[in-house]
Amino acid sequence: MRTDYKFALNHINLGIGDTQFQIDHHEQETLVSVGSSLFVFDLHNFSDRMHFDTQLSRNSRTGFSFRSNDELFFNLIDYFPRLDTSSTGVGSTYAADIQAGILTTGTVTPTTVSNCLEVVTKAMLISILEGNGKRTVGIGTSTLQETKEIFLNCLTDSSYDRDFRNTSIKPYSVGFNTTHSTISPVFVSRNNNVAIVTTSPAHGLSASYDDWGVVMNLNTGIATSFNTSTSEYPNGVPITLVDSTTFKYVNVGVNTNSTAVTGTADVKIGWGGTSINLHLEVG
Amino acid sequence: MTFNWPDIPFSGTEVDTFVTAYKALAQAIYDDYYAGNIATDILKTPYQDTENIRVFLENGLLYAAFIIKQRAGNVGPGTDFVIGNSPKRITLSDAERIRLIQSMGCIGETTNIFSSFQENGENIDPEAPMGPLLRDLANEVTDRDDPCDDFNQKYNENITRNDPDNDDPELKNCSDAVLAASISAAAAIGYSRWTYTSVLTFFFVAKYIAGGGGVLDRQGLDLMQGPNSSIWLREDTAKWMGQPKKLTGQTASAGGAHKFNGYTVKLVSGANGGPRTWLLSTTSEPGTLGAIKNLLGDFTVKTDGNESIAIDTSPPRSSAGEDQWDAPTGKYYVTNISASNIINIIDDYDFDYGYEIERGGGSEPGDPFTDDQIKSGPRFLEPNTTACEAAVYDQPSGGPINFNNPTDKRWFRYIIARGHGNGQLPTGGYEFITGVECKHKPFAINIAY
Repeated sequence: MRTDYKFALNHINLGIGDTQFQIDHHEQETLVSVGSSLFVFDLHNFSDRMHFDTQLSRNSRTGFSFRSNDELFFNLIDYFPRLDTSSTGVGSTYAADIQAGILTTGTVTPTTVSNCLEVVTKAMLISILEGNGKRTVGIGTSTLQETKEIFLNCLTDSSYDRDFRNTSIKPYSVGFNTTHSTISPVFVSRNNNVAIVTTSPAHGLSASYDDWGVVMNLNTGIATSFNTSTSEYPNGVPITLVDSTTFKYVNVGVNTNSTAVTGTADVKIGWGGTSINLHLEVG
Repeated sequence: MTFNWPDIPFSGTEVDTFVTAYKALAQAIYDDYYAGNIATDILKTPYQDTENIRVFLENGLLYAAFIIKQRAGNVGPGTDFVIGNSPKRITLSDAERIRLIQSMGCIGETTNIFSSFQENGENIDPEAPMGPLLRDLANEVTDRDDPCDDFNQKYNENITRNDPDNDDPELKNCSDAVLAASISAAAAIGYSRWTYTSVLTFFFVAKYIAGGGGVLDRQGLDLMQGPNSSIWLREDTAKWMGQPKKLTGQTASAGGAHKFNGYTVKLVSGANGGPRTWLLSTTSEPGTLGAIKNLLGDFTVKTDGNESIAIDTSPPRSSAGEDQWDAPTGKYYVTNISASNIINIIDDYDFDYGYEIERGGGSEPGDPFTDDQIKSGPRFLEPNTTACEAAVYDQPSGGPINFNNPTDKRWFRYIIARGHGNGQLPTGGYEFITGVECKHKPFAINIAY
C-alpha cells in the first residue's frame, strides 16, 4: 500500500494545523522531536465532529476531495482505485494489472482516504450503538441484518438523480440534528477568525462534554456574518466552552469588536463525550 | 478473506463489548460484499469495491473504539496530551519515515509543516490521466457561480440553428479542445481488460464530437484501441445478461434491483425459437472500472437463440412500461448464456441533451441513417429551449444539475448540449447547420460476430 495511504489510514494528517485544535488545546501545536530518531506527536479528531457524514461526502458529493486532477477524472468515470494493491482473492487479477503498470496512473489523495475512513467509522458507530449513537456506549438492539442495512444506508448515493437513501431507518430516522437547547447570544466579537459569543442568561452547557455545537442565527448587520450555514453544517459547528456565559468557534471573517446582538443559537450535540481527541505518537 | 485487525491498546467492559460487535458486523458486511450480495451500484463511489471497504473497516476500528473508551469515562493512555502517553505508537519503516519528513518539508513552524504536509502529500501524481485540455475545460466549466447565466454568456446564447452567421470562434475552439482532450484522456488511461470500457467511452465521445456519423462496426471498434475490445465487450455483455435476479441487498424501490422486473433483460422477439432479440439494461450495473453502463447504457443484443431462458411468473401482470410481461405468463429471463451466443450488439450513440437519431418506419437502431433522421434529443423540450436548459437535469426528486458544481461530473452534459446549440432542430435541419465547424453528430453501432 502507498505510504501516503498508510499515513491517512493511521490518522497521520497533522490535523493539529486545524484551528479548532488550537482553540481546544490552548495553542498546542504538533511536536516534532528530531534527536537520535524522529517522533511526531499529534492529535486526531473527525474532520466534521458534529454530523454523521463529512463535508466531502455530504448530499450529492461522493467523497473525493478534488485536491488532485486524478480525482476529477475518477469522479467522471465513477471509479475509485484499489487502495491495497497487494490484496488477494476477488479482484486480484485487477490488482496485478495495476502492479504491472497497465493502469499507469490513478491515485486518490490522502485527504480523500481520510474522508472515506471517517465516513465508514461513523457508519459503524451509528449501526452498532443504540439510538443516534451520540454520547452512548450501549449496543443497539437491531438484528445483524438491520445493522448491515443501516451501515449501507450511511454510504448510499444521494446525488440529484440517484437518491437511494432510506430515510425511514438510521441515520435519517433518529433526529441526528435535534436541537438540545436554544440559547441567547447578547454579544459577539471576532479575532483571528475565532468568534467569541457571550450569552445571557448562562448557556447552561456542561463542560464535561467536548462535543457541543451551535447553529447561529443572529438578526442584523454585521452580526449575520457570525451565522452558520445549515446546508454546510447541518448539525452546527463545534464550539469550545470558555466559561458559563461564553463560548467560541471558528468563524472566518474580519476582526470585530464586541457588538451587541439579538438572535438565537441552537445548541447541538456531536460525536464526542468527555474528549475524543486521539493522541498520536509517530516514530 | 478475513481482517487483519489492529491491536486495540485499551480495554474495559464497554469498549470490549463494542469491539466484539464491531468485528462481527464488519465481517458480516465484508462477507456480503465478497459474495456479491450488496447492491454496490447505489453506494457512493469509494464504497463500491470489496477490498477497499475491508481496508476502511479494518482501519476504522481503532478510533471508533477510542470514542467508546472515552465515553465510558475510563482513564488511560491517550486521554491527556502528554508526550509518550499515546494509546497507540505508530512505528514507521525507514522509507515511511523519510516520506514523512519529506512531506513536512523540514520546516519547524507548525502552520508551514501542516501546509507542506498537505501539499507534498496530495501532489503525488502531477500527470493526471485527464490531460491538460480536458482538465482545463473541466475547471473552466465548473468554476461558475450561476449555471445558466454564465453558461449562456460563455457559450453563445444568441447562437441558434439555421443561422448562417453562426461562426463563433470560441464555440469551435471549445469543441476542438474537447475532442482533442477526450482522445488524450482515453490514451492516458491505458488499455487493458479492466479499463477498455473507460477508454472506449472517451473515444465514443470523441467520435460523436468529431461528427463523422456512420455505423461503427466490429472492425472500427477494434481499431479504436485494440483487437480485444469487441471480444471483451461480448464477454461482458453475456455476463450482464446472465445476472441473477437480485434477491438480497437493497429493494427495488431503493434502486438496487435490475430494470426489467428485477432482471437485466427484456425479450423483444424470438420467444418461439430461433434467434432472439433482447433489450439489455445496465442501469443497475456497479459503476466500477470495466463497467459497460457508461459506454452503452441500455442497448440491443441479438443472440443465436441457444442461450437458456426461463419464465418468472411471480411479477404482477403489467402491459406497459419497464415492468411489462414479455411472456404470456410472466417475465423471461436468461438462466445460462455464453459469449458465443451473442451475434450482434446494437445501439445508437446519441444524447437526450444533444442530437439523436430518429428511428421508425423500418429503420432500427444500429442501421445506417441519413442526416434527415438527426433530430434534437428529448431534453430540448421547446423550440426555444437553450442548450443549458437541455443539459439541466430536473427530475422532480432532484432539481437542476448545475455545471458550476465541481464535485458533479455531469458538467460533461453541458459540453454535449453546447455542441448542439440553442433551440430545437427542425426536421431535416441538420444539414443546414453551417456555422459550426466542429459539428457534433450521432452514430450507429452494430457489432457483428
